[in-house]
Amino acid sequence: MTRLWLSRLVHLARFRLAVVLIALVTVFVVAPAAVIALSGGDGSRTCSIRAEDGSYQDRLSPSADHWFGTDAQGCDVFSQVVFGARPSLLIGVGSGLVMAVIGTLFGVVAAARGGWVDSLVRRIGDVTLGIPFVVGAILLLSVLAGDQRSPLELVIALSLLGWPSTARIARGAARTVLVQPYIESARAAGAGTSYVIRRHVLPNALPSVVAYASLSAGALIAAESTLTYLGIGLQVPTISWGLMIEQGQRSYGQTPHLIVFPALFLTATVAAFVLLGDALRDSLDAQVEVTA
Amino acid sequence: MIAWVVRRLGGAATTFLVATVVVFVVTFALPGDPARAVAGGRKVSPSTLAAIRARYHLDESLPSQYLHWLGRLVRGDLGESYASRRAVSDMLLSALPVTVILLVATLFVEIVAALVVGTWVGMRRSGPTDRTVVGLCTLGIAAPVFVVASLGQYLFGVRWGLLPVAGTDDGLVAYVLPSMVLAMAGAAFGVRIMRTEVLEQAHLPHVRTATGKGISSGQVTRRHVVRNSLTTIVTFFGLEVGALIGGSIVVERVFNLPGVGNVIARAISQRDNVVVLGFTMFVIAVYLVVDLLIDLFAMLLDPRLRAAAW
Repeated sequence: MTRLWLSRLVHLARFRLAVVLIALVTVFVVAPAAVIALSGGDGSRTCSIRAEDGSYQDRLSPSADHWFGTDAQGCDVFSQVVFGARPSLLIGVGSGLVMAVIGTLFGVVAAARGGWVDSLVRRIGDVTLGIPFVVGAILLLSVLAGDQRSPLELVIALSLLGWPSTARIARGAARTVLVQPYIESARAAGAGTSYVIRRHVLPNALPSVVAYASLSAGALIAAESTLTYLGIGLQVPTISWGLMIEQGQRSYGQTPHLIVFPALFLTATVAAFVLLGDALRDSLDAQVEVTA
Repeated sequence: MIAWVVRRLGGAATTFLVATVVVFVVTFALPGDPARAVAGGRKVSPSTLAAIRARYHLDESLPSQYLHWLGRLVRGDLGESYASRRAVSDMLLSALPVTVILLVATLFVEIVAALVVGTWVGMRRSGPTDRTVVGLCTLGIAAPVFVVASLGQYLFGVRWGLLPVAGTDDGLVAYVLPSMVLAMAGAAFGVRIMRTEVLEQAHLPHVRTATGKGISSGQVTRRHVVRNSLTTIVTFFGLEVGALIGGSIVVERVFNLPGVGNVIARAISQRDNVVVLGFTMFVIAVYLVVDLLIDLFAMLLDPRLRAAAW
């Protein structure tokens, strides 16, 4: 089964996937390494209000020395944009994974057990999805973290709010499998529930979950930066795209580069995950209805 | 059909009740003392705090406070704000028009985009137009609302000075930019879904037959392709209303519109628990009602669903 997926992946989506992955690797692995090498330091903050010749270095427009210009503290925007990728990626991929695991577990168990377990899982999902996402996130983050918010709290809050959609997908996929005649014959041959789940249900449900997890990683990165932008996500001194855009907005007219570059990278990153999700869905032949 | 509606109403009511418990517990788990929120940050004596707690039942156990709140809710009383002493229902009534105008304008943009652009590219598959539109849709889905909002404010407000960027002082014009911004992601999704549907429908035998009978292509598109694609798109827009209620909070904050979302966000930061509760539960109720209406509407469009629900 795994090998079949792999060959489909290679044949059908090789091109798109390659483009997406190259973009991802460039943004997140090569670029930070290059910044560290170029700056000679740890690279996390390359700031200086005044250069050695005494000239002021703040709010510079893009130039050869500072590709994306500098901000109000004289920090190099390029290195900040690059390092801002880390918390976003950590939170997006982290909560995407947690959501996929919890969602698959609950979805498959709900489909396999049926009855009150199924109704309970669905009811919890309905309630969670009924609460507007931003309201739920603000409430959960205030309760979980108060005024000290780290990526961990964001992962917990985002996963708690997001798992029901994964559970719905896993449940739907599991239910289509469970009514197949070969499940009945497997049971007649003496297969137990856990065997059926491991050998038949999970392999068939996973493509949808994997494709959805990639799409949601993109959505979660957008969600993290939105919350951060609104002042309820990550906080200074963490370097984050949401914070950069929020700070850049204070001096709109004079320094558009402070908004444009982080916005561009944020959008490109989300797009990369969405494209990856699309490619995965097509090549794994997964049934995922794309909704926000 | 009626049995189905009754069952669905029962389900929605249960969900609502469970949601009241969850939201109540989370709201009252917020750090900070609501009694001090009532006092408005002034220094007050312990006896005054005690009096405030007694007046708002804050000295009672959480279950008892919940029952008080639920009892008043049943009688249509949402309580009064700790911070401003205004009745929560009054606050809701004054914030609601802003959000409703925003959401209606946004949905209008999204639906028109999905139906017109989605059908148009769906009928011309795999040309350069198709690829461009699909690419633009990915961009529209990927760009977070607040990014589009910031860029929109910069370009249309600061740079070109075409549209107002904050507040509602300019009347309906003030909603143009916010609703376009909010509509972007949903329109992109809608176009994509409509395109896929149309692509699938356009190859079905009955469409070929209709074309073969000599019916004009416009007629075929409208009567045979679009019509059969409507169920999917209606379901999508039902889900979209729920997503928009969440997204509208961001847009209301960025554009400083005094709508429902803005009030909730402010109330959470002020620990104004009664307002948080009242507004959140109202939003959840709307979401549940919309969900039900969408299912009914889908049945209206597709007789096969009606038969299944008997």
